[in-house]
Amino acid sequence: MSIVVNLTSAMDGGARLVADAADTATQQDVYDIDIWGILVALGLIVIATVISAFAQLGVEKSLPVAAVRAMIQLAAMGLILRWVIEQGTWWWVIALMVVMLAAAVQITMSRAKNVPKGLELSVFLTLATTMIAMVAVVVELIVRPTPWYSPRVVLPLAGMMLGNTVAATALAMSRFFEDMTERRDEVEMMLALGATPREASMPSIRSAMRLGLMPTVASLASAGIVTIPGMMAGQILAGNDPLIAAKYQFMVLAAISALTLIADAVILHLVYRKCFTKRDQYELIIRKKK
Amino acid sequence: MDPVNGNQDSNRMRRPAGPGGTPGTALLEVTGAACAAVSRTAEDTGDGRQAGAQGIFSGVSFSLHAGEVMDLAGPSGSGKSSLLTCIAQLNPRAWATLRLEGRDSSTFSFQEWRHLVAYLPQKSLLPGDTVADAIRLPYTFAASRRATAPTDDDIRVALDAVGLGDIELGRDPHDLSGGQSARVSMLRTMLTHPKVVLADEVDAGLDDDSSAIVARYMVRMAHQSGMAMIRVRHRPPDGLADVKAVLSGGTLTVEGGAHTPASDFPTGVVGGAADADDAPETPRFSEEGA
Repeated sequence: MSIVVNLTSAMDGGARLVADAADTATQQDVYDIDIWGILVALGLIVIATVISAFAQLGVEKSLPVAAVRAMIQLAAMGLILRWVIEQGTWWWVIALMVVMLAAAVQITMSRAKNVPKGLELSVFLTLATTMIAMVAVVVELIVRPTPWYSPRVVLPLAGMMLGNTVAATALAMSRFFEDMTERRDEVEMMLALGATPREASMPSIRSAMRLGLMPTVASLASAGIVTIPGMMAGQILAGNDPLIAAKYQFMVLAAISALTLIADAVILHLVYRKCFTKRDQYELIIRKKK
Repeated sequence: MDPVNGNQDSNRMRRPAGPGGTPGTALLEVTGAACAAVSRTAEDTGDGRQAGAQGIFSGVSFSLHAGEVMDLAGPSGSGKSSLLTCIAQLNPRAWATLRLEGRDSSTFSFQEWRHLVAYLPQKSLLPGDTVADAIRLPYTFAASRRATAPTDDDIRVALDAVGLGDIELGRDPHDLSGGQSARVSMLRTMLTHPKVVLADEVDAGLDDDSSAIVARYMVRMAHQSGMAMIRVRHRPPDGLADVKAVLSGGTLTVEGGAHTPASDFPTGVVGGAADADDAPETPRFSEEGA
């Protein structure tokens, strides 16, 4: 659960690197966080843990573990990104993206609740499709870095997009299979009237896609008024021109809107068949998770 | 061409040679229908598997001629609904060799088959904004897109015929009572003019009077248009069936002794019987009513 968030935040950190690459002026305004700063941040976790224990929220074990895990993962991602950027070769960029993709598939499967078995390949294809589309459009068409594989641009953007499509894909699948379970009688009725599995699934596909798009629309509406989104905040903290940061942020939000919808459409069309037998009969076997 | 060949097991094969009908050639042939009792949820272990090993029914064979109405009786849990869904190829746990007008079911697409051999579920679900939309639902599917949807007049006439004269076509289906929904759902299937109707407790949600009206409407339609019909009923026999079959202990017994081939029987007489009250005392049906 927290891993994707962590990954995304790691990429926000990476956004600073984008900022560095894209620009410019005031490198001296970058404030590093020293070891005391890290300790203060850890202290905040300790306080949260104490409050949790006191209020018996039941997260006093999982919270520090998750926090330490996040710290290690972020540090590792920072080091890896730094190393790949230093190498500056396209194959390391591709290799890292493949690793991120594999991790994203695993995270999507663990996040999606009450879905049938054997969806890994579909999830992989969905995430790979959206990732390739993202690199093609956002990186090569909009940002146009030199060289084309510039790790400072490609990797943070790929990570951010991946974080969002993972969330969207997991949500869409959970919602779809939940809806298909609820609509069981209706699906059987439609099949009895000569509907194909796809026709009988369409109401649930629509419902899942609608649900998947809602957070995106909400984030578009609130961006800049209620929130300064992570990427923009990162760039500004890194000393970049806030207007450049805003342009990057808008591009990312626009890409997220389109790509989450594409991801939802792809994943749902790949998995709806799981609700049916080869003889076009409704049969949904859900793997229950504890 | 010879439908009798494939059917050599103990279950009786009916071949009435009605003068007005098509002697010898059955409209629907069911051979060796079997159904396993495995739970859908795949979570049940012990009991479900034991029952699955035994099966709900097996080796069920029978045939029906055009215009014949068969009542399917049997203790609850004997698999009456499963047999109906098996014939519509909707049941993932059931298999059978099926033939319609001598053509093997494998030569139809599943959608074509279900369009022609229509299962009418007990639960009446009516998606759509209006009653007319709900009735035209099948025509939104590719399988029946070539067929002509019933006009408003057709729907009006049909609604009037089953005691729904006060239901406007523009009515929201959610506002209908259970008994009204059951009748609209029945009409939705009947108006697609299937060759075989598998009616699963259509009368369950109806009062005695509506039940009798619906039964007469359906039987009259079967006789007029040469439709074969299997009814699982919730009530005592109404004397409208040509054949009675009992599914019990995993086997089907067809009680065809007092059978009158439906094709013998002038439609006017059926209409007349229908206009009189529900008539189990009609001599022609008396043995089946027992």
